[in-house]
Amino acid sequence: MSDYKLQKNATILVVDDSPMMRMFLMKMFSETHEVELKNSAVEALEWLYLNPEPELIITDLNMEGMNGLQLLQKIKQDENLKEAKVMVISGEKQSQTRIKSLELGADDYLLKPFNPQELYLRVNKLLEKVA
Amino acid sequence: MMERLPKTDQNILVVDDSQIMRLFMKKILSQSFEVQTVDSAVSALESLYTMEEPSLVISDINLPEMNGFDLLKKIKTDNSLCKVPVMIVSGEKDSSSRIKCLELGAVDYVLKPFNPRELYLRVCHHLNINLKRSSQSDDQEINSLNINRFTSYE
Repeated sequence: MSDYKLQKNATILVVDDSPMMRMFLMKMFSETHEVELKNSAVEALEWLYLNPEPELIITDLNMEGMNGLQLLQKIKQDENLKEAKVMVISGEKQSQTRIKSLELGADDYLLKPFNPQELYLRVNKLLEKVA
Repeated sequence: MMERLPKTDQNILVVDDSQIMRLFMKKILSQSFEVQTVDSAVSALESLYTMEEPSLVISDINLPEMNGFDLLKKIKTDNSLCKVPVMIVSGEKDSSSRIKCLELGAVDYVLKPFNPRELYLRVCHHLNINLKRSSQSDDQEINSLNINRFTSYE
């Protein structure tokens, strides 16, 4: 993992109700980036209201209360968040869900379980696009 | 919902040795884009060096003579071509192929068999095209999708 040089220091918001996944993503990215962890879409929106400038938001879909698609829709409709890239990471294998995510404006969709190297490369590609 | 854009001036070069796949790609993409198809990496390079630069290259990996990895490498190490985004569409399920392509500079990797709508949306994304959406129909669709851990997988 340390072979990968991340492009730049960015702020990444991780939204996942699994503590394991939050820890994993924190471990993966916190050396180079500011990582903020939230365990629900509502908490994520509250945080985004005060911190509207993360370069990347990584979200799960299956969450209590508001799900990831609803969160994605809210993010993509918010003018203040239009620069933020959104990556969905989910175990949902149905192509319908993937398509809906892309239609709502997700910048990428990675299926769980994933290879960490692939996540690294895809995150780097998204951060490269952030001006 | 199979919303598509009207024809744009973006042009896509599709590289696949399967005639059926070339026809299928053309069918999915030609309503919105100019699509040129070739059956080998060598023909793709010929086209890249002699024709107008495409907005996007979509390539298979398993191709006769030169494979998709070599084509990708060639494009990404050529100063005159390196800015052309390359999307790989392949049946190679091995994550090492996916990682290799992303490391070599591919913008995306879509696994065959793929859903045509997903391919179309990913192509639009890489061409920086935003599809207009009706938020009301989105709400209905989101509510109708059964997003939980127990949904049956395809």
